[in-house]
Amino acid sequence: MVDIKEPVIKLRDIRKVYRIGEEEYEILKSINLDVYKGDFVAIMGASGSGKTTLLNILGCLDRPTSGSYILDGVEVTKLSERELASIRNQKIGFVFQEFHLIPWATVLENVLLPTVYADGITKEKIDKAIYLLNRLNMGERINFRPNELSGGQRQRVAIVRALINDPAIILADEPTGALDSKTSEEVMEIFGMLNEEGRTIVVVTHDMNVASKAKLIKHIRDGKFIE
Amino acid sequence: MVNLSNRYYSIFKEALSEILNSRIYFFFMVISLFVGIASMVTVYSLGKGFEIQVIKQLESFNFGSNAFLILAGGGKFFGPSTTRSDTLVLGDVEVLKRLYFVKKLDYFQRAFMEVSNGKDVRTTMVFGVTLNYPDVNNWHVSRGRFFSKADIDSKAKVCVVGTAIEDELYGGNALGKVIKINGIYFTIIGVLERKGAIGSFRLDDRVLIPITTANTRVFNRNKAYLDGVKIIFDDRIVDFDVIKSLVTKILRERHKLQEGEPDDFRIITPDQIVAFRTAVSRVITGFLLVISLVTIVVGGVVVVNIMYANIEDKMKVIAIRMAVGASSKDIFLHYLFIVIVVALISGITGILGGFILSALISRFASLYFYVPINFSILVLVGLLLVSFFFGVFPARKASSIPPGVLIR
Ligand SMILES: Nc1ncnc2c1ncn2[C@@H]1O[C@H](COP(=O)(O)OP(=O)(O)OP(=O)(O)O)[C@@H](O)[C@H]1O
Ligand SMILES: [Mg+2]
Repeated sequence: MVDIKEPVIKLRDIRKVYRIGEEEYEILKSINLDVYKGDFVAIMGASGSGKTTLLNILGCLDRPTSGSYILDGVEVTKLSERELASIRNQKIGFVFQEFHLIPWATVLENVLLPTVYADGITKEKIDKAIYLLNRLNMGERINFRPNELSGGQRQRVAIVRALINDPAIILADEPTGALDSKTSEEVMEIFGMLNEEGRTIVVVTHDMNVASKAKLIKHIRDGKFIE
Repeated sequence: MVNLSNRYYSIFKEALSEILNSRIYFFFMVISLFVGIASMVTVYSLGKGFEIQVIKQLESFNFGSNAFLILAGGGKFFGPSTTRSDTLVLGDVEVLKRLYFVKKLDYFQRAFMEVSNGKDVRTTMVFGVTLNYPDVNNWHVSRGRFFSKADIDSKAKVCVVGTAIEDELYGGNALGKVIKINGIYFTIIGVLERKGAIGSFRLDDRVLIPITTANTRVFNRNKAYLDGVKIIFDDRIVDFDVIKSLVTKILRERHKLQEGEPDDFRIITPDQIVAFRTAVSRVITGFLLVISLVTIVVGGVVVVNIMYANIEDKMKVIAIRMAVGASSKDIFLHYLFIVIVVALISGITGILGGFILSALISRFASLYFYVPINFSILVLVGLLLVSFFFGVFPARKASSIPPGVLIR
């Protein structure tokens, strides 16, 4: 047999149906996707096309109605809530459009949040957080709170938070959606840099400039990828 | 290998940081429990303090666990006599005196009588007592002197008064004055130390005269019976139960009581007096304790509701925590921690608040201040158990939040 490289993400025939009262809405119809280690994938599509729905499934924040999702060799659709939490903690780094930082926590505390639910906060993790914050030019602001930061700075904090537990994959849902074009550029450069270091990244966006930084662009329409 | 203790410690710190940044919620949760706990501790401390005060007062005139009183006439404790009450006589005392455990005794006659300074008349308890009265009751004269053997032997018309009589009839200066007791003139040779009151019973409202004088000149009894004997015994050599049955046996025999006939005397212990004097305060204390318990339960319900509001407010943050890897169980623990911290802080501040309030009231009302350590520990442990139970509901609600719906 030929040596076949296993993908980090392998989606087969993923469906997502929302039921509101009697009505059923099939938002994702038949999604197939392979993402390999070191890939940088951008997913594009119109508003309401199901991008966030898909990304939340990829991020184990939500479960598909049917289909198979193998993440890093594990069939996650069969996992319990506890096991999914651990997958989110260890294998996935999530970056959101609205940053989603804890408002009262400092930059450092926000970055360390995922480690709380791993082994708890340790000296090594604090050192690592400070190192990563320094790399993204946030070293001066580790004791600031989110409302004392600009949008771009908040997103950099969120990116460091996504990196702190060394996940297998980084997922970003419109990471530049709340930023101006110059700051968007900077944030995408960070993603580019992370990808060059070998990290696997999936970004959802409807901004072509943003998507152009990715190695591969996938378009979604009517709940399916357009070939 | 996952380091569990560090993980729980970090979750706990995460919970603390949420508390510190939700001060309004936190403040109202603590306040709503504080009130009930502080009042519960205050009520208990005051009730217990009053009881200890009564015991200490009794002990202050040698009525502790090594003393008892024999009162003439049978019947219920402190009720009216339901039998003859003229059967306790000097001969009984002579026999009791020789019992091996008796250290000291004083016997007395007593009656409510009118006394007068010549102008004003008032009613007081007049006691005919022996030379042993000051020692047996640990109650001495503060000015003047007590009776001498000569006074007793000669049935002298001398008396010793309590400070209430001195203050009210002689403007605070009774020594050497004359007092009319039941129409007979007495010279006041001494004034007793001030003892205050036990509840509403004013101890200083009394006049002492020699028992011999009382018996022959004042009380006009056609038979020389006694009203009571107070006995101090050696509580190291014999149990009170033994003493009680022995004394009962002797007196019944001497009084020729048939089997089935009730005792024509009563043996009174300090416990009974404490119970009698604190009966009302116990009922009040119990009632107030129940009210403060209700207050705590109401406070607990308020805490649960504020906690629900807090969680409603923190939905997004909870979703963020879950998105980065918190499981339902972690979130559950997080909010259980918060409830327990609230209980702990309101418990400790409530107990301290209760101590302070009770100390102030005790001082103001010149009561004995009792620090109810064991009771407070009990309250705290109870509170923690209850909060554990109540905390489960909001914590479970928080942990059932689906992160995917809240984070988009
Ligand atoms: N919990 C839900 N219940 C019912 N319908 C939902 C739910 N969540 C999303 N939808 C529907 O699914 C569709 C896709 O939503 P989704 O958020 O994935 O779109 P999107 O591609 O991310 O859009 P945008 O670019 O505006 O963010 C929408 O029509 C939305 O109304
Ligand atoms: Mg979206």
